Amino acid sequence: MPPSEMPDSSLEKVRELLIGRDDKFVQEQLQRDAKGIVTNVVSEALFDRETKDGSVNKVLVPLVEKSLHRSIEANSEKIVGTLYPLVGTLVRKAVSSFLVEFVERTNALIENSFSPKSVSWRFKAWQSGVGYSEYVASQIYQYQVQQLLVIHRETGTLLHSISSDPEKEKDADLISSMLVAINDFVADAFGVTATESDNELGEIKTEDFTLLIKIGPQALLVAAVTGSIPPEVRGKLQQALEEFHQFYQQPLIHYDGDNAPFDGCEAILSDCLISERKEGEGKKSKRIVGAAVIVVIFAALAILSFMRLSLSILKSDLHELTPPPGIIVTDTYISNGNVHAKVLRDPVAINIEEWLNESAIDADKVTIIEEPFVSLKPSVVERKLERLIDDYPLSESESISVEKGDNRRFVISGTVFTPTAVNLTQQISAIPGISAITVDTNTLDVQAAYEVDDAVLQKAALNRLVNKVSSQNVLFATNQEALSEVQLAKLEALANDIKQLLTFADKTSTVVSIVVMGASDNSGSSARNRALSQKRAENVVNSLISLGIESDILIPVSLGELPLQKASMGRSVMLNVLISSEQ
Amino acid sequence: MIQKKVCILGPTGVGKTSLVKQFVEGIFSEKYKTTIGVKIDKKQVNKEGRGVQLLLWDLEGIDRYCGFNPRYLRGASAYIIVVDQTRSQSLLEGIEILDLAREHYPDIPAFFVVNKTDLPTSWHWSEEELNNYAQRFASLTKTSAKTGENVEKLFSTIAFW
Repeated sequence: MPPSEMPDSSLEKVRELLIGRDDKFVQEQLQRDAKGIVTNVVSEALFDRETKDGSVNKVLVPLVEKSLHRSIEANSEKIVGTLYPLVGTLVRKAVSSFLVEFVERTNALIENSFSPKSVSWRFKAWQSGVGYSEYVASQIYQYQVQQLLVIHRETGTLLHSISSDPEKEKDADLISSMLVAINDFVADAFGVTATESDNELGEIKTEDFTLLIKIGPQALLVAAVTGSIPPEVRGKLQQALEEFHQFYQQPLIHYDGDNAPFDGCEAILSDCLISERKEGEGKKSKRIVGAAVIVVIFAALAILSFMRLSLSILKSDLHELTPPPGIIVTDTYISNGNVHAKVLRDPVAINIEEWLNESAIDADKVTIIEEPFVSLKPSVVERKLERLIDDYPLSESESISVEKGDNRRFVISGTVFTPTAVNLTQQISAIPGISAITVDTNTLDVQAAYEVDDAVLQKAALNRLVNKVSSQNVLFATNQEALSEVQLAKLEALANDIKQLLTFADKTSTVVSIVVMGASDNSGSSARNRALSQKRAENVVNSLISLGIESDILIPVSLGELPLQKASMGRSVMLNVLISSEQ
Repeated sequence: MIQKKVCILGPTGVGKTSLVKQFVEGIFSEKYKTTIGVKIDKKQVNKEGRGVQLLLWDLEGIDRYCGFNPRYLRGASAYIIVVDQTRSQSLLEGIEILDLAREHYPDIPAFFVVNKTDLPTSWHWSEEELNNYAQRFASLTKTSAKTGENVEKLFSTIAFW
């Protein structure tokens, strides 16, 4: 026999000796003390197996259910008797909790049913497809759960607390203990029934602050709430408390003052740390800001459009104005916040500023661009004729007057010498558009031509012309030295007068000098104004020279700025005719 | 952190409140006690790196005419019965209180405190008699709320009992 087989057979023998054939010995031994062996380990074994794979429950639950079922069937009377007081309490609690919620809801509904708000709420609720009562509830509750405490019911120690605002968190440990003490006090002081739970505090309330206390078998859940509490919050708290008990059943039962097992309960509690702020405050301020912005924008727009509107009104006023004879408004437009008017004006027509002022339009608000033109309107022609007759230089023995008859008929009467008559007739014919009126010179008494060498007569004519020329002044625009078209036209007439004056001066042996005095307003520097005045005077002199006046009788002088009341009066060139006998 | 509820019982005027005051900086004012008969303070006690928070329920003085609300003892880890070594009667009353507490909560350890050790002993109980009574308690501590003698030690012992 090989040495390796030896241990096998010997082992077999030893086994036979120890436990007998077919393990009967072991089995007998085990059976004899089976109960004791199992008893020692059954609980632990069940616990281990349950923690391992949960199979114990799987096996036990159907068995328990079945036996319960049988037991209830067999002993229904007995079971009903046992459950009756429990069910009674349960139902009572459920009903009272329901009633509290119901009453609160109803109160809220009643409070808000008859307000004007309710109509709009009804509409909004209908719009958003929510029940009216739900909508009302959502509108009226404004609350905040500030702090939640879970308190061990027996010891009154705090298990966990969370707060919506950790800074405001009150000393939760002491509050918890105090609360339990108060609870004990209430139960002891006012306790009438034997059962403890019936007398426990459910709520401590001040005007705006409520401590809601939900009581569970091992723990209390206390919520510190400000504001009006909607029923949902109570429901949530109850639910959280139930969950808490479910999750921490073992730690609660075996509580020894150690809070570590409850550290994770925040997940359950945080659901209850709710608040609802009524819409408004935040949005209101935003709305106010928004409204302010809109108001500012609208105001700006309104001001702009008002300005624009007033300009437009001014423009249309100007446009609709019937201009006097000799004035034609060719264009009006708004540019750079100003109304501009392009105007054609016959020199005999009324001054535009005057016309505007007469028409109640502020001339300062209108920029006028004036162009001279010759109007053929009968009324203008009439005025030209009248002016010609009125201003016509006559000798002392001559006289003319004009009288307006019907149908634009003008009768010129008076006594003139032939040259004057001829000259006058020529000048009348030269008036543009004179054909529109009838000029009757039949009554004009024309005396035989005789040399007008009468010195007195000629002196008189000279003096009249001296006065006429001396009274002229040429106007300029601000800071402008150039002559406008209007003024050039004026200068033309002036040149004619000067020529006539010189003729008479020649005849009467009179030396003539014309001082042309340039001036300016007092805006700008005085040096600049002096130069400007000089330029203006020179420009007028040059124009007159170009119109045929001898240069040596014209003396340009710069007056510089004139401190006049009306600045525009200063912007001019004035003429002064000096005469002296040749001797 | 472990939290322990400790109740302090004893006849009127033995210095319960002073004892607690000596131990903690009071937070709640006296008015709570006169309202519901209990004043609660807390204090953390540390030993060997472990901390225990004591919630001290200072119960209104108990005399023979008015008992105390035994509910307040519920869930307590310990209770202290304080007597005054200048008044013989206080010891007897203390024992009555112990009996009452035991009746409701036989399992909560009771700590025996003889207070006012700063004053000369003026009761007629001998040390032997005192020790006999002390047998019924978990421990006997002689304290002075005035000087603070043994006060810290007392609460530390209870915290880590």
